[in-house]
Amino acid sequence: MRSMSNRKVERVNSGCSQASLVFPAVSDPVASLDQMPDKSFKSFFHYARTTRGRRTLWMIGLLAVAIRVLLLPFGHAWDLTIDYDFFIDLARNHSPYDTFNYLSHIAIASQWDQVYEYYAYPPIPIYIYYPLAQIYHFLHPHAQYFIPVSGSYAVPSLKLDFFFLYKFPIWVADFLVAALLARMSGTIRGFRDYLLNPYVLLVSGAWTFDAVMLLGLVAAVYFVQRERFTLSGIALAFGTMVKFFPVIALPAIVIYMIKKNRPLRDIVVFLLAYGIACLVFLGPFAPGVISVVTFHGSRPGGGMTWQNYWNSWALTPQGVSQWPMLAALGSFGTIQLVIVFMLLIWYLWITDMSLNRMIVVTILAFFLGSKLINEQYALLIFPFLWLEAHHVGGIWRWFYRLFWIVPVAFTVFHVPVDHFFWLLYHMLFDYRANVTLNGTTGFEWTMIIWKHPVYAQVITNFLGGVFLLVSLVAFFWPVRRSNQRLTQRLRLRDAGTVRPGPTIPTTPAPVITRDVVLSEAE
Amino acid sequence: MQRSHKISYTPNLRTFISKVITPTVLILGLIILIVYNFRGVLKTTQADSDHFHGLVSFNQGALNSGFKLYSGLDRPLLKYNTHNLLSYAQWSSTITIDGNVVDLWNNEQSYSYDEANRTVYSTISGDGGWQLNQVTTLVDDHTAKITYNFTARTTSLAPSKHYVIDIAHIVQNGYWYDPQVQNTSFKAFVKINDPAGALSDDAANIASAVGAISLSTSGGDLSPAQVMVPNYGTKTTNKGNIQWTQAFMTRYTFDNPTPLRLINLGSETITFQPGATSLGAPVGGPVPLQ
Repeated sequence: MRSMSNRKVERVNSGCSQASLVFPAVSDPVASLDQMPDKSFKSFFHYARTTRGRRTLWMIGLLAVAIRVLLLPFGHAWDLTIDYDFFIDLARNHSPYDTFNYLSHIAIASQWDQVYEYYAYPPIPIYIYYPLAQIYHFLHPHAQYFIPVSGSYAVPSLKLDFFFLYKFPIWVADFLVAALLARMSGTIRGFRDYLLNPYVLLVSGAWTFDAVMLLGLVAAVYFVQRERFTLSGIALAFGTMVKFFPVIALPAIVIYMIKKNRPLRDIVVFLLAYGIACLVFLGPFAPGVISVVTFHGSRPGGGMTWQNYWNSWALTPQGVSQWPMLAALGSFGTIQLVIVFMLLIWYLWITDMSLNRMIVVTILAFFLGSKLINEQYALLIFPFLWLEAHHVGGIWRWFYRLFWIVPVAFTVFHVPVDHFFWLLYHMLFDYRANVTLNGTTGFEWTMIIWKHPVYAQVITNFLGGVFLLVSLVAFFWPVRRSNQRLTQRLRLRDAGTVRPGPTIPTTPAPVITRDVVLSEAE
Repeated sequence: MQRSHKISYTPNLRTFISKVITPTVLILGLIILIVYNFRGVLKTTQADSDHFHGLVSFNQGALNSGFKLYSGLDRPLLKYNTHNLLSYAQWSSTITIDGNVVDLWNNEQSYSYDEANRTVYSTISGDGGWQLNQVTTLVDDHTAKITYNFTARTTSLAPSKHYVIDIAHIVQNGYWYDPQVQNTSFKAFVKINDPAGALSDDAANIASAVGAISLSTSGGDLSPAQVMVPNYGTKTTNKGNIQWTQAFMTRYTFDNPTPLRLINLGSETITFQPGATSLGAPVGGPVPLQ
């Protein structure tokens, strides 16, 4: 039974107006943590040390692992097939960049596609997966490549040990990101909301290693907040060398440091740490990375962007090729992104905002400026939106929800979701069953809307439009002054007029978020 | 008062720049310009000429790999300077699917090129929903590698298929003297002109050969291809009857390929040793130009 003694706390509504509200004090550890005036890193550890805290953490952790274990044989058919071939590359000490080049030429010569969508990432996944690939090679010494024709549904018959070896580093990254979120927010909710979120489970449990990249980005921001700039630079370099995206946070962090009047030495140390770590991580793979950067520059647009319309073959007249238009639009992709980022830097410079908000705005600029936003890219913004929703509340709660619900819905119609079953079917039936030859999934029913090409593509375009619109609104959503800054301003004004007035607290008032109310309701 | 002037035995900076640095930079720049520009112009001219003739070619030292786009022969042709060593004859090569024989040339042909790695990718797409991909790489100045990949593009629950692919290798304006054939390898001396003009002295025949060529097959996803010589000619020499040939085949056999999956059939590694006096002698050092 929860104790129902009351205590009076102040509530700061969205950081602008103050109002006195009465909230009952509760014994719910999560809620009571939220009510603590100092939501510091220590508070999380203090809570985690309690018996109940440990039990809650264990329960969340075990549930998160259990769901991920259940999702082991599920996955994006194409991406996991490529990841399997990436394993074979590493097991045979063969550069995946060479395989990328080789297969791209075969795809062109065989008129499959303009390029073969193979491993096109920086080299850190090579370092992470090399020992795991060697273990796989030890377990399966005769394992061969499985190179499917571009765009086909040919899928290898993979074993559970591959799924485990591939997904294990992603799980570890997930737990580390969740732990960082908990530390940055001072509440166990960060741990829970990240690990058990359906979108995170979709991406990390059944798709790609974006969580490893995210770990680098979140750690970089965390270390900046702790004023550990060398570690921040290294962490950001780590993220950049997993997937390129975290590099977009570099200007935001530098501008933040300038605005915070950090000494030039700190900024130089941060940039040097980042640059040197990138060079070290690149190592002998620099030529290969350059070749895949070229590939990314030449990719056509699509995903959750307005350019996806020209991928919607069912919505265009029969016999009319949309490829030239898509290719022409795609050729402006790099310059479009550069222009958006120049505007972003100007916006970050003139606007007073927290580091977390700066990162959110930066990622939103990427969503607005990039020609291609795949479903899993939204994981980039997930922890920072969660923090914004947690600290600021209000509309950011809705932004947070939309930024994982829309990508999940987009995946359902775009991939579509039943294709995540293919790997399971192939694992169970090998190549014997019809389902493994014809690409059927058991969902071939006209009433299932994602099986209807026109409806599916209309909905896909709609969801892409919603994602774009939400990105636009969130990007331009007014930045409000923080409580502390407002308080300081009020104090200065009062001091100047020497007018008796209400006493302004010198420490920021505790923020009572909706989580407290929710936990009360529980 | 008498002024003392120091006489310097080294030129001052201005003199050094005007009389040493400037001419040096000009001359070096001119040499670099001539060398690099000449190489660039030569390459462009050669590429234009090759394009005009429908030919894609690369060279490493004296070894040249040329690939004719519009001909059933020389896909590729390996040459040492001007001497033909080995040609892949696509219009003599066949694919047999469950007993039905189709020649490879009478199908759709498409290409991609990787100049940095001196590689030609060519794909033959057949009516029956199959694709045979050939990757020709000039590895170094005495080695070329040809890799074959196969894709069954059928999407139906097709009945069992038995595939046999025979790749024909020939030599034009010459012959292979004293061929030694094993299951997965072929070795011979390359001689130019008509085999009827061969000498009666075995050692003299070997000495007058352009060099020794060898081809060995290695397996990819399958076991290595078999090497077969359809016809031998015979020349009587002081060592007895010595055989010669102008053609041999490599045979790839496989069953029930997984649909829509690229299958690596295997590779053929061709090594040429100029001026060799014995088959299988190790290739040493840089290949001398003739």
